[in-house]
Amino acid sequence: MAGKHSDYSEGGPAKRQKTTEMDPKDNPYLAHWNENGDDGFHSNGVSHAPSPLSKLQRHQTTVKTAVDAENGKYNPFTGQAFSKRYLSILKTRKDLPVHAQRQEFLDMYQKSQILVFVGETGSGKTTQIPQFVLFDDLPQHDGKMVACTQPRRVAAMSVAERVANEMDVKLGEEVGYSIRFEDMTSSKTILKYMTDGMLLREAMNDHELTRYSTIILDEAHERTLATDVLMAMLKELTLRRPDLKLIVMSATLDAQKFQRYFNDAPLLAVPGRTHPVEIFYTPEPEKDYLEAALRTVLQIHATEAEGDILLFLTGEEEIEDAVRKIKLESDEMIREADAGPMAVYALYGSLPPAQQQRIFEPAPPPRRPGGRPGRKCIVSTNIAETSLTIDGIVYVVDPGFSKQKVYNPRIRVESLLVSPISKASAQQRAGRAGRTRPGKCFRLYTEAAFKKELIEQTYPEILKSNLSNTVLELKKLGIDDLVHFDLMDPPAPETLMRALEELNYLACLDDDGNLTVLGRMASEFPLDPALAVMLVSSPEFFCSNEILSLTALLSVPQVFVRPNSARKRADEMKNLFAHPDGDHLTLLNVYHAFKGEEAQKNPKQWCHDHFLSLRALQSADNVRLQLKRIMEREEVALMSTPFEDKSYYENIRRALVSGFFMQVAKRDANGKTYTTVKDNQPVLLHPSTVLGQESEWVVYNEFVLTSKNYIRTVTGVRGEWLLDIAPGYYDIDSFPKGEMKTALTRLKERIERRAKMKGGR
Amino acid sequence: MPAQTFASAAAVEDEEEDYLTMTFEEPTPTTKKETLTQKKKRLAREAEERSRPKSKAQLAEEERTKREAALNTANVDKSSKGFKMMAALGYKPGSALGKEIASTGEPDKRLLEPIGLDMKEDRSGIGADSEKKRRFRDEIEKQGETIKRQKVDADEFRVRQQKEREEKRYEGQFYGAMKVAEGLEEDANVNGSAPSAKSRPLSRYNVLWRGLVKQRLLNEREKRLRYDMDQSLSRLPTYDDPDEEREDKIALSRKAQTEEVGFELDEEDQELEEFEALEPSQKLEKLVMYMREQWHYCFWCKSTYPSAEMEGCPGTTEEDHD
Repeated sequence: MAGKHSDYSEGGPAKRQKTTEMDPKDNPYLAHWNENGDDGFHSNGVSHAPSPLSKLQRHQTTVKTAVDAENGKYNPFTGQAFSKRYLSILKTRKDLPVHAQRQEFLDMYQKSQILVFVGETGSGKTTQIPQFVLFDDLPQHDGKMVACTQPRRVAAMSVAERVANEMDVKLGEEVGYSIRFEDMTSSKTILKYMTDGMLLREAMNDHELTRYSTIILDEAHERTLATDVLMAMLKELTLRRPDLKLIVMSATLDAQKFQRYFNDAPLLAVPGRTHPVEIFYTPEPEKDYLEAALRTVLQIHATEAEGDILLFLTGEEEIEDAVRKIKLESDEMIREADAGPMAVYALYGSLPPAQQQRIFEPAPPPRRPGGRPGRKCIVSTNIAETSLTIDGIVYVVDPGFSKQKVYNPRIRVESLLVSPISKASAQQRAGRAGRTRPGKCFRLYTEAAFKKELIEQTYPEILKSNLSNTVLELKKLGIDDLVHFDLMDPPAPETLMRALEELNYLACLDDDGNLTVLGRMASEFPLDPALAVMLVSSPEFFCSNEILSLTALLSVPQVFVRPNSARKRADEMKNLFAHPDGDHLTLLNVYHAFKGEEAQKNPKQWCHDHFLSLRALQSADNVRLQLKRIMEREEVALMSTPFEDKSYYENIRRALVSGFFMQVAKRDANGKTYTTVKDNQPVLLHPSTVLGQESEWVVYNEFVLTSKNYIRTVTGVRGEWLLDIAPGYYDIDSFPKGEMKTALTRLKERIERRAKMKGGR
Repeated sequence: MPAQTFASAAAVEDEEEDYLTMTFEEPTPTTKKETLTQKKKRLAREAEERSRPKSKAQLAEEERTKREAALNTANVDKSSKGFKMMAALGYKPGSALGKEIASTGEPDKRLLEPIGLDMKEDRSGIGADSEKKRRFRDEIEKQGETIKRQKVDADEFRVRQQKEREEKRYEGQFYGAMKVAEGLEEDANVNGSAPSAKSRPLSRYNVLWRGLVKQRLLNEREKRLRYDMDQSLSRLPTYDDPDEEREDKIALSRKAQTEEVGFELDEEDQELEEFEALEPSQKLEKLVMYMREQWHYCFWCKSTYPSAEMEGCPGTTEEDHD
């Protein structure tokens, strides 16, 4: 029998021990430690003028010196002559609201270590403030950097690109970005946009964040898990590092909460450019918010003056459906009522970037000169609420719902559920209508419902998440007292308890709550602990190559494409890859086929023919490569069982159990439904599964909470493996009397009988 | 002959008794062993019940109840390793995580319990659910009220009916008593020398039976008015024409008396009103007592006793005479 988790808590194999005292030289996160001190001017082999900034003292500059440098002939950061484009962009930049308060900002920044900055979307804070900081912080002088965090990868990338253009530098040189699985920075980088999660990962390896002179937490009002942890961590770090400056930027006016949290830090507010928005409520609650939304959009199109429409809905499927219906109806309105043309676009996170860009296209012109003006209608998830700014929106339709992550430690389900938004969210949505001129917001609920049914603020993510990953990170950050850790909104005690318990079962924490060798290794992977543990343990099952691929596939969006128009065909294609033992193995088959010679000749065509998402597969490929590097660094051996070996698939399934033994369901006596182990929730296999009803025990990747409980991405396993691989979790004495206990007892007896027979022979 | 009859009757009786007291033996499956086929059948039935696919509604309901049950159960197992790790860091059950906010006076918003899950299963808008719930509640309340009212009504009705019946009875008895009292008084007056009943003003009657007299006078007046109306040629009898001469009046057969009595009848009589306002039973009781004292007459015995002791009368109330 292959090894068990307890091996790790007792020290683990020698070759892995090494990683705990890894030489910082080999750690890519610490690459900056090895750089030679630069004079602040990154040599790039081109002759350049002396920088006007080189003689300035940190935190003693004035707006004048900065403006002079900006208006100069040569780029003070590269020494090269400014391009024409730079000058034209500079002009528009000066019109941004933040510029009016540059002096004020500089004064406060120089005076205070922590600063809370409030600027509504459109004030230019995300692009301009970091540049203001550069001219005063002068990180290049002592080889440091300014970091600006973003909750979303796309934002980090696009803002970095924009700012690189504004500063007339090449993206990835002076200005770069760093997101999970992609690092676009170099030794020259002085301003780095990054996801908050990435900064957290860096902090895990360098508790003092020594490479940064200033850290800007942008979009702090979104209260992502990583931002919340960063705030708590930086609150402590600023005490240890008086030279480190911290700016917390928020787009909403509840900034007092941030101020209080950071020991009454000074606050600077910059008004955004907004126009009044008239708000309309429905007289009666709506029976069907989607239908009401469509009706309202068409009504606006028929009766209201020129101006674009933004409709907030909850998810991809709903949005695509709405887009289709609005298109049909508005076409009919053109034919029958001579309405203006209307372009309808969908907008949601998983949309390919090229399609996301289409929302910025101008509204269509009138169909004939002098005809009724055209408009565009954008149907979006709540990403258009704060993060994406679309100009030209005059009408907002707000049904009052969004898909929100929820987690409850009592049934251990993390899921996305459609829930009512908060009052703050509703205000934010309404504000979107007043970006270019006075607008209107149509709320599809009554005013009484707004007052009574909506909560004040959206719950921060940390209160609605499984914290096992966060706890692992905090442990790695060197924070041991998790109970008194000064989070802005500490989670419920049960949530922490569950996280600690899970990590203990995964052998990432020992019974005293200390990181084990396995836990330390797992924390190196930007993955959920269960996935990380599965990956790290996979060599024991002689299938680390396959588990590596599988982990990558489970970290990307859905690989299978199933368009409404060709469901049957898509299912047929999927069946080509189906493995009778389950969805994980099917995914693996897809990946292997994708990497095959035939597919690689023309991957695009091949994916199209087989109803697969090229983007997802390519992204899985990339993730796999990044994870492989970490495995190599951590010295996790890469190996495979020969394909001809009959235990090839069995090994993979066993490895699955090593990570997912807490996500197991057992078939009920009726042979149709399943029940999850320990939490005893009745579930059904998701209709997308390739698995029949023949497996008594299954591991699942995801518990989908809808009107029915489904488990998705399911693979059958043998009950004996559970007892063998995770004896701590499947401790029969810990189970209450019932079907589950009986089944496990029977399994145990069978194992013992077999062992006896073997012994007798 | 009678003996025979008795015997046959007894036989019939016996037969009947047998039939009535016949005991049926309860089937006792516990003591009876089920046969192999029976057991097989039972097991098959049970297995079939177990394996019968549950309906979607059943499944959904089951899921929901199990989920709710799990969600409502706090999961603070003090023997769990998670709890022990937290306890080692100084965590006390029932307290929140994080740093205590000292003396800001603000409400502590830190969570003690995880945020609940609200499953949205349809596309009803915000407020629609609570609106529906409110309506449902209203409906239920309304229904509850009607049922309650109906119930109360039935009881009330019974009580009221009974009370009304009783009052009617008392009224009847009181009426009778008044008549008796009037008669007794008249008898006494005949013996003595009191003013004749005719000329006596209403207020001189004892209030206890004045109502009876008044009613009689009213009836009389009405009768008379009716008669007058029938007799009169063109005008209402009460019509008083100031231009009319007294002689004409007589000629038109007006009676001055009418006005006299009628005048008194229309006068307010506070004493009578107060007495009339009393419950019939009280009025009756008062009158009965008065007659006993005045004329040694017992309304219940229907006889006059010679002495004030009224020997032989069982008591003052109707019940005493039962």
